[in-house]
Amino acid sequence: MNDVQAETASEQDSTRPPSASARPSLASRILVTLAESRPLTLLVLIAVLVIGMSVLYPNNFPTPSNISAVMLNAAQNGILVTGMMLLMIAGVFDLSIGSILALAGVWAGVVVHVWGYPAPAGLLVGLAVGIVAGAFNGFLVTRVGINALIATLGTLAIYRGLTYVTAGTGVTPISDEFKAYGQTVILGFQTPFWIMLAIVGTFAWAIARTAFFRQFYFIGGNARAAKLSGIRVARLTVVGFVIMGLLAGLAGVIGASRLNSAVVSAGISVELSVITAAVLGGASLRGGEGSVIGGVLGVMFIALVQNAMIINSIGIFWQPIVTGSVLLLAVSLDRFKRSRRT
Amino acid sequence: MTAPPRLAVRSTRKRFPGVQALDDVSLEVRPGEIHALLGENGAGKSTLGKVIGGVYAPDTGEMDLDGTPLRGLDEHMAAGLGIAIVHQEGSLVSQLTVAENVFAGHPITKSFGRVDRAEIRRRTKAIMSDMGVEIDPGAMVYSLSAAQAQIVEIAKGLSHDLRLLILDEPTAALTLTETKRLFVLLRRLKETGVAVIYISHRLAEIFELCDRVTVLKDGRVTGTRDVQHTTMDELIRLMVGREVLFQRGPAPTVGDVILEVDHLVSPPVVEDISFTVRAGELVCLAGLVGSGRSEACEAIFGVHRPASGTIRLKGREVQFGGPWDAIAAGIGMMPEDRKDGGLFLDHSVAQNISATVLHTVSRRGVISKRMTEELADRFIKMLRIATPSPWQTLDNLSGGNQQKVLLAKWLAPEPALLIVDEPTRGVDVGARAEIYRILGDLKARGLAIVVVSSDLPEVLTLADRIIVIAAGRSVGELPGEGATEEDVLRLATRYTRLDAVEKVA
Repeated sequence: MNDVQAETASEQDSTRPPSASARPSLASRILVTLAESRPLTLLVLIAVLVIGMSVLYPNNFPTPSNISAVMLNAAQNGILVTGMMLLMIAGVFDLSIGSILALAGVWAGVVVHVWGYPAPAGLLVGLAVGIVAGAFNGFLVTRVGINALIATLGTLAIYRGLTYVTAGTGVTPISDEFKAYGQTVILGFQTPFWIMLAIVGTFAWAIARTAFFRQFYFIGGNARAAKLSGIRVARLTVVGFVIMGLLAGLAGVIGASRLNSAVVSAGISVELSVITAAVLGGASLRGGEGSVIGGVLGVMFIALVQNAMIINSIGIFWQPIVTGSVLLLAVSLDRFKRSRRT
Repeated sequence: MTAPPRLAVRSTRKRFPGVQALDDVSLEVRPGEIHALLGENGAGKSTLGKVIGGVYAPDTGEMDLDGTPLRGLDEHMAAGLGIAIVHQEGSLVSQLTVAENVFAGHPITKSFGRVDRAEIRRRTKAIMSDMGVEIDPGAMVYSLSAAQAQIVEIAKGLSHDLRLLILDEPTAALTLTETKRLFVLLRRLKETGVAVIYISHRLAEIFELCDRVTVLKDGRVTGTRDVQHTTMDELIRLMVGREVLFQRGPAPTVGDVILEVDHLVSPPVVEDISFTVRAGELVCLAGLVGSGRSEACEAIFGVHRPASGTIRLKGREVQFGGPWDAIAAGIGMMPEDRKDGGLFLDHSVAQNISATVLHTVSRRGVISKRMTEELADRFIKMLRIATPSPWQTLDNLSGGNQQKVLLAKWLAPEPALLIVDEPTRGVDVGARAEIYRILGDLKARGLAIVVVSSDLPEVLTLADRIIVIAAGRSVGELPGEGATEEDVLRLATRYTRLDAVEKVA
């Protein structure tokens, strides 16, 4: 994990323009350095939060059970933000992920509980649902030519509706075998955390380093130039939506197994917190920039803020206000960076 | 004391990243004068026009309008003062009517801010008839021809009390007849006391239309002359001011036929285009803007699927599903607009150059930073790209260097055929000469090259053969050696049908 992070960071640094040669004040230099690398900004913020909370609440915050709980909460969005980051790098996004998540969970539950198939069948069906739903999103965006916002707003409703149609009140319980996917504890952390780590690690490396995924940066940077450079823009965009669907399906299956219950209302409005995390992590709606590490740090940051508020016994209602403010602050920093460049 | 000039520009400078676009420029324009700004591509003419029109803020310098200093000029303020600028690229909203566009900046309203449509139509009609043209104020702008759209832009200026009209390359998209009509209109404006700044690099037009001419070169004024007391030779000397940019090489030793295009049809513009290119040969597709040259190249490159006709590459008929197939078959295409279709401006030089050959700088699918850098360094050296590092972000480079990066990006896959659409658009004189030299070298190494260019001197300098395209058809062929601008223009305009231009506009 650390290796991946270090490599990604050096890759990014080397692609940045050199800083201005004039010598600005120390404060503005620090501001500039922070603004230049979003993952770095987030790391600093996370460190401040962790240290501050550890000092203020030594008995509640830095305990294994609390850390484990924070990570468990972050696991779902960590998986989702990986796919969302890939899409946003290519200049599109997917609003339907919460519905895909619920649909996949419900289908896994139906296959295992109602039809009596073994747990692996439930897992595979859940993933397949995600792939099909993602492929349909990709089809709408590239072949029919509907803007990603509208297309996935439509399927957000359709997939949620399909979830209700499949299992009006959800499926409970699913099975003991199935429950193991989400509830086994390894080295003090539950499986969702380890699955998230594996996915994030793999994609962080692949998206930063492989020729295949580099093409997504070109698509988001300038779609017409990408096409004229021989990049199969439409096909890769579909691949991006399929990966997103697959990950949403996986998150749905894991969520269902964690609760041993497929809930029809699972994942409602999760797309907003995932996109928030992605933008916090350096993605932009114009496309062409961002990294998986950044997105995951965004998720971690939001999870920590949430945790800190609970421990502080500040009303949880304040949490969206803080998250929203941090998002706006981060994007303002971005504007500052851009205006400095031109 | 005499009346102050309509416009006085003093010691104006404007710098863009990598290029001093205007360097200590001064200019005076009198009322009722048509004043030409002449210069090569990239000389700074358009930049000066945009500074005067309030589009760009100059870095330093002063401007007076009728003796009143202009401070903090922006587009809105310029419009209010009666300065109108007709851009090369056009600034009309195509989904609105002519009248709504003419009064876009200062709508005439009834109560509650409702636009008074009847009134703006009436006034637009009056402006049109003053200009002696007939364009329906209620027509939608997208239904207009390029020439009509230009007239609407001028009318937009006349909707204020017009004092100064700036026209940037107004005839680029016009036929000869339309150009004549525009000149009549401009002379009429001039008689009413309007000052006109006429930006062009077409000498003939300047002698026909203008009173005085100021020549720019590399962002500096090299001279202002009365048109009556100067000659083409003198103006060319002022424009170029250095030795011939490029010596036409010896006749090429051509090899096998690389590309054969036979009766290519690709709606809506390409109607019937045929030509061949041999190895080691540079063929220019010449013609007016909108004649279908770029569209034909895009069809060859697999961007659009041709409706009919055949394309043979090295003797074998090819059909491409997309540009990726064309690249795999050994074709490269530099699109005409490097910002829109060519480059990834937020990415580095090295990343841009490697974009077409990601697999060759990767090992088992993983991009090697070292191989990417080696590839970039090779081209930085070969094309003399001025960049502090291969990892420099592209938008910090000058136009000429960006153009070289674009060229490198297309040389990296080592194509057998290179299509270059407008090789020197928006680059300075020095870079232009270098690009000519590079194209010459590539040709000598056996590359087959197709150049699309609207710049006739460029066509005559580069081409071994010239294929003239008009209204979507290949209408004639000329040898590069010995052809004149008039020869090309005669062929290019004889067959022009207005609707062919309209389709593109």
